[in-house]
Amino acid sequence: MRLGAVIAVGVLLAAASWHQDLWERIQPAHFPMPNQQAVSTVLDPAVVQLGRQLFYDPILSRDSTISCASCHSPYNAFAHTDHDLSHGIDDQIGIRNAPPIFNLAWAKAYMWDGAVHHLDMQALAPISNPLEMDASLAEVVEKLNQQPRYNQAFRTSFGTEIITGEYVLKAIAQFQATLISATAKYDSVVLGTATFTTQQQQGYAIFQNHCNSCHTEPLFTNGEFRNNGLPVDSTLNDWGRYTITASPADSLLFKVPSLRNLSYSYPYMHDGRFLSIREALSHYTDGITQTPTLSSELEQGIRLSDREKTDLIAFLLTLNDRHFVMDKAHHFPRSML
Amino acid sequence: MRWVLTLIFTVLWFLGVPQPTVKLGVMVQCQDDSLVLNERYYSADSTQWVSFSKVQFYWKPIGEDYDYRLVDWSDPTSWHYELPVDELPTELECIFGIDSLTNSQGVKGGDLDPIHGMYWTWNSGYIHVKIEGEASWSTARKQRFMYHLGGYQPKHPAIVYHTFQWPAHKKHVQLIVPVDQVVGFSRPVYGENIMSPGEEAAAILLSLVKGMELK
Repeated sequence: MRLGAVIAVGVLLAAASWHQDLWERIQPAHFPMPNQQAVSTVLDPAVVQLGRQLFYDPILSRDSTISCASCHSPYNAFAHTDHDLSHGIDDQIGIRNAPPIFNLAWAKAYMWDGAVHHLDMQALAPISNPLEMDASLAEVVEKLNQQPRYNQAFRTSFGTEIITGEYVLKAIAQFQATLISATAKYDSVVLGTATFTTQQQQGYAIFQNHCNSCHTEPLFTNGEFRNNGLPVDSTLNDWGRYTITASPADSLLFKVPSLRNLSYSYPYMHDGRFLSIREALSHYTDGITQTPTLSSELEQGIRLSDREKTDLIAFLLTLNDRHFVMDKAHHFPRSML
Repeated sequence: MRWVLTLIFTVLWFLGVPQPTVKLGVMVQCQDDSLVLNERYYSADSTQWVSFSKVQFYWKPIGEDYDYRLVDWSDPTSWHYELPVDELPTELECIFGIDSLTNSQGVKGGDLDPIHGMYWTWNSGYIHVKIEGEASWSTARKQRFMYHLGGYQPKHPAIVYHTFQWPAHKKHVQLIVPVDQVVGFSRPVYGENIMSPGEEAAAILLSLVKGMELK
C-alpha cells in the first residue's frame, strides 16, 4: 500500500509539473501572477482543446443555434461588434453588450456587474440566460452524452466518457483562461523590443496622468467596479452591480473594462452606447453625470484638448493585439468540421 | 515461515476490516408524517391548504471524511447515508448550506455539480435550499410559492451549523425535517418568493434547521 502511495504521489507530481509547464509557457513575463481565487491555474492541453470545441459549438443552446462565439467573435477580441446590445436565441435582444474575452485569469470577477466570481462558473450564466442560450446545464450534458465524438473527447480530457456539468464548465473555463492578449505594441515597448512614436509617447503620458488609476497597466483594468458617470438609459434601467449586491453604494457601478484591443471590440461601455474611442473620450471630458456613487477620480471631469485626445488615441491604438486576434490556436477548431 | 504467514494474514485482515459506519436516513415531513410531494395538506378547519412540489437542500456532517450531500425529496436514493465513524457518536454536528470557501472555489462535481440546478446562474453561489409548491394563501401566479435560499457572504449567510444529540445506542437514525415549520397554512411575512440571498433567506433556513431533530 505504501509503495502504491509513493508511486501515486510521484505520478501526481509529474502531472502537476507538466500542467505547470503549460501555464508557464503562456504566462506573460510582464504580467502579475494570475488570480488563483478566480481561476484554476492548472491547465491541461486536452481540456483546453475540448473547451475550445465547446466554445464554438451551438450545442450549448436550447435549439443548437447559438454558441459562445455567436457573441464572442475571435476576430473582434472575442467581443460582439456592430451591436450596442448583444442578441441571443430567437434573435432576442439582451440588455448589455457582450464584453471581450481575454486575460480572464487576472480578473477578480466576471460579467459587467461582477455576478460571477470564479471563471469555472462564468459559462453557466449565458448558457442559462433565456435571452442568450436558454438552455439548462442538464440539457446540454444530455445532448453531449449523445455525441460519440464528445464522449471520446471527454475521455481524453477527464479520463471518463461520462460527461458532467462540472467537466463541461471546467473545459470552457480552461479554454477561456488561455485567451491571453499580451503581444501588442505596448507590450513590446515594455519588454524593450520596440519604442513608441513621439505622439504615442505623449499619449502615454496623458494616459498615465488621467486614466491609469482605473485602467491600470499592464492589464489596463484594475478589475474593480466604478461609476464612470454614464447617464442611465431609461429604456434599460440597468443599475449595474447594484442588481447583484442590492447595496446602494453599488448603484451604477460596472466593471472597469480593459482598454486593450479597442479597435477590434467596439462599441464601448456596458450597453455599447459609444461607437468610437473619441466618443468615449468626449464623455469623460464633457458628458459626466454627477450621481452619489460617481467615481471620485471623475468628480472634476477630465480636461483634454482635441490634440491631447488625438495623442491619447494614438497611445490606445498601441494596445491593439493583432497577433492575439489572428491566432489560429483560438479560432474555430477544424476538428469540428 | 509460520510467523511470516501470520504476519501477512494479520496485515490483510486489518486492511480488509471495513471502517465502522452508522446509517442516517433523511425524512422530510409534513404534519408529522413523511411528505408526499404534490399532495394537498389541509388545515384543521379544512379552509386552507398547502402542497409541496420540491424540497431540496445541501447538508453535511462536520468532519474531513464527509462530503456535501444534496437531499432531493423526489429522489429516494438521496435520502440515505452511511457515515464512517470511529465509534458510536454521542452527537452529530452538521452544516446546512454550503460554506463560503466551497462556494468560492469554482465548479465542483458529484452532488455539488451545477447540473443539479442548485447554482445560481445570475450570481455566483449555490442555492442551499429549494422549497417550492402551491398554497391557498398564495397570490402569485397559479398560487405558487418558491423559496430559493442561498448566500454565503458575511452579511446574512444562509448557512447554519447545528449539533444534534445522537440517540443513545442507535446505529440507524433519522433526520426529521418538518418542512411545514417554514411553510404552513398562512401567508408568511416574506411572501411567496425568495430568489436571492438576504436576511429573509437566512432566517428561513435557520427556522428550518431549528425544527429538525435526530431520532
